[in-house]
Amino acid sequence: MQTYKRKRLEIVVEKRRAPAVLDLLDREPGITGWTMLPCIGGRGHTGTRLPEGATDALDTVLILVVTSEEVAHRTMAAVLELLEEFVGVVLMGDVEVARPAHF
Amino acid sequence: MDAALANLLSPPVLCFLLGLLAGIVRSDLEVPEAVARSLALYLIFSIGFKSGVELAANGDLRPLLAPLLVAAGLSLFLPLPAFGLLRLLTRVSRVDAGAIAAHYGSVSIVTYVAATSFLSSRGIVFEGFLAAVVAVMETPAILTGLLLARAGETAGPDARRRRELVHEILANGSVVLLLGSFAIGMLTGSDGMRRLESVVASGFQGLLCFFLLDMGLLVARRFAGFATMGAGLLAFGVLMPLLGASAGLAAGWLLGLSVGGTALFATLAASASYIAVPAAMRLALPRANPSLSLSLALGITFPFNLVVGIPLYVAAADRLVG
Repeated sequence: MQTYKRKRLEIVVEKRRAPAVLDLLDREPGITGWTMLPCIGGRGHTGTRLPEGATDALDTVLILVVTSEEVAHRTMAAVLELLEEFVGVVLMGDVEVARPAHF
Repeated sequence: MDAALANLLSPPVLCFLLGLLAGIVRSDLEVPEAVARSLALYLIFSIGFKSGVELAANGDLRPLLAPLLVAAGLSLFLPLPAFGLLRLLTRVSRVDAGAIAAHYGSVSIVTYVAATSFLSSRGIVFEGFLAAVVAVMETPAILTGLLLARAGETAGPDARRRRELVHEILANGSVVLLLGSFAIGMLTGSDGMRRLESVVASGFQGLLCFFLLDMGLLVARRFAGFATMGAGLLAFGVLMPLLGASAGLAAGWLLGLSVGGTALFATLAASASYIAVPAAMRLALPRANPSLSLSLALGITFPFNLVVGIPLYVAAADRLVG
């Protein structure tokens, strides 16, 4: 089966910061879609985060984007600028897709 | 002493202690997150609705004005001694001190609910409008905390973040639900109460117990972080509610509230937010460490108020006003 190379961005942000990131993705013409998943927990340089029950203030989400290399680099820089002092992780990796017109 | 023991042996506090114990022995007992959040919504709705109904029965809104103004003032100014105490007792950064101070100026709705439950179990009446006071005390402290944290900084958050913050403060779910249910209670009055009584009144104690079971589990999880917090911060978690309660007692007395009302005012001033303020702080002060403020508000001050504080504030109010 023929596949096509693309880049995958994985963006972990606090739930309350997600709308700003999604807004940025929606304004980038090279991005055709995104998927958002809830994070159950994690540990990073700001400590461990687990579900708090009483508050969703510390909840994080994972936003997945698959796009071309050029758009991925541009978007990664823009997301990092948007995150500024906020907690967040932005990763880029190689991925292969079967339907290139979708990404 | 009787009241303290009665509080300790009441079903809500015993359920909290059960959750705490289960968490400490690492039991796999858990309340599903969606259930816990639904219970919180139920408690907020019930307390708002019942207060609205009581106020409707009273029919006079004038006694509401002065307590609301005083409550807003308390919320606005309580972060100042909290900030000073933190700088004196601990080595936390200015940003963290500002964020924690905001939590302590604001209020914990669940602590208020537990206090009303304690008063009802002892047959002590209180003013129905106090649920509106809870809503008013949620947010002014956020402003003071932000000013304290950002003092000396020239650049504040950009326009978009300011908009997000204002939206978070004004449209915060717990405040919207509390004020909304209060309004529904006022509009529907005793007829509304007849229809909803089986849910908002009869089921209240049982569901409060279930919610406090989950709170116990959450508090136990916070214990692990205490080792790294230092004695100063732990002391702050107990001293600040006592200081807040003193201010609340004085305010209740000056306003001429009943024993129950004065005790609730003290409880509110003694409590620290762990629902509304953490969310606002994540947008306004993202550099602040949320683990610190949550460990203090949820891990120390909440259990202190629930087990020791509430009967203490009621006894003090009884001495002062009764």
